[in-house]
This record gives sequence, C-alpha cells and structure tokens, in this order.
Amino acid sequence: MQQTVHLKASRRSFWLWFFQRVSSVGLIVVLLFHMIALHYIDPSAEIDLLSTKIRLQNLVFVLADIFLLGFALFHGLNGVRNVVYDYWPKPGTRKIISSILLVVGIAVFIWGALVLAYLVLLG
Amino acid sequence: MEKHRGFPYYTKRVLRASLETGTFAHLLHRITGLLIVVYLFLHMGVISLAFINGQTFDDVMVTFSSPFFLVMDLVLFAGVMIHGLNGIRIMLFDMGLFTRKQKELFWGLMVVAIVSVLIATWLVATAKGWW
Repeated sequence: MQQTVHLKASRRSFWLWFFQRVSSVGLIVVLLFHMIALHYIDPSAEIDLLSTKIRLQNLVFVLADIFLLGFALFHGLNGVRNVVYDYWPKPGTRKIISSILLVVGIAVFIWGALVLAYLVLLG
Repeated sequence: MEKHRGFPYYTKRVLRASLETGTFAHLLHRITGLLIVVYLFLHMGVISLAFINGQTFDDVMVTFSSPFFLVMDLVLFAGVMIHGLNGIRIMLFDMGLFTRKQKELFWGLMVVAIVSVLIATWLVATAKGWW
C-alpha cells in the first residue's frame, strides 16, 4: 500500500518534470512568434482592440495564443509548485497548495480561452 | 527518508551558498521565473479589460507606451532572457551535455543576455528618440 502510493507520486513527478521541459521548448517557439509578429515586424504599430480583433481573424494567431496561454500557465504554476515543494516540507500543506495551483490553472485557462473566443467570434 | 528541517534552515543554507555560481544561477532562475508568473497574470488581466470595455483597453494600451512602462518592458525582457537562456542550460545538462563546463556556460549565456538587453534598450531608445 505504502509502496503503491510512493510509486504513484514518483510517476507524477516524472511527468510534471517532463512536461516542464516540453512546455519550455514550446514557450521558446510560441513566445518568439508572439514577440516577432506583435512587436518586431512593425515596432511603431499601435496595438488596440480593433487591430487585435483583425489579427485574431487569422487562425494561426488564435492557435499561437491558445498554446501560449496553456504552456505559460502550466510552466509558470508548476514552477511555483516546484518552489513550494523545495521550501515546504509538510505533505498536507503541499497537497493543499498543489490543488489550489491546479484549480487556479484550469480556471485561468478557461477564462483566457473565453476572452479569446469573445475577441474572435464577436470581433 | 530525508529529515525535513523547514524554511529558515534551507533559506540560511541557500543564502550562504548563493555566492557559488550554481546556487546563484538557481536563485536567479527562481526569482526571474516568479516575476514572469506575476507578469503573466497582470498581462492576462489587462487583456481581459477588452471583455469589459473596449475604450478602457485602448486607453490602457496607450498608457503602456509611456517611458516608465517601456523601461518595465526592458526589465521583463531581461528576466525572460535570463530565465530562457538558463533554462536551455538546464536542459543541456539533462541531456548530459556541457556537464563539466557548467559555470563557464552560465557566465557565457549571461553575457548573451546582457548584450541582448543592451541592444533592446538601444532599439527602444532610438525608436522613441530618447537621445
């Protein structure tokens, strides 16, 4: 019983470690695209609501934004979890903070996707 | 199983070791990472304004082109460059590369980060006519 729990925990930490790497490579790619397309091609361009809505009529930008949202949230919040686990020894507190971070991540992802859908569909 | 000694113990140990290149890199990675998470939430909050009122969104975007926010952008850029380049360094070690040149690689990448921030500062300053 004790061993099963231990195995499950170590398997979970492996996958979290692995996806921290996957999301970091994804972030480098998507963030470069985000910065080049929005700020480097035309640095003097004013970004306002109208130009944003026009930009989001292109599916490539919508996909890039969704992936940026997901990768950044996972990478950031899992990073916070790593910091918490390094400094917080109590298993109970760790579990509570993990759950809070998970709920925050899912909620903010849904919120971000809704804002994006609003900008795409009602633009 | 390792005995847990709590927050003050580890903080003291980390601070004492922070002059070592590896610990310094580790702390820098943490601090920049946490700052970028804070920025992520602020960034999303601002974009969400479009949900509430389009005019508010446009006004806020104009505010963000003021010198103060442009300097903050450069601070963010520095943080992202440091975190990203050091992150690549960490993954190289995961793959077993450069493991005997960890310190040299860190300082080399930090030189790259500093140069890129200087170039970005020059680009912003030139575009805004600060000199």
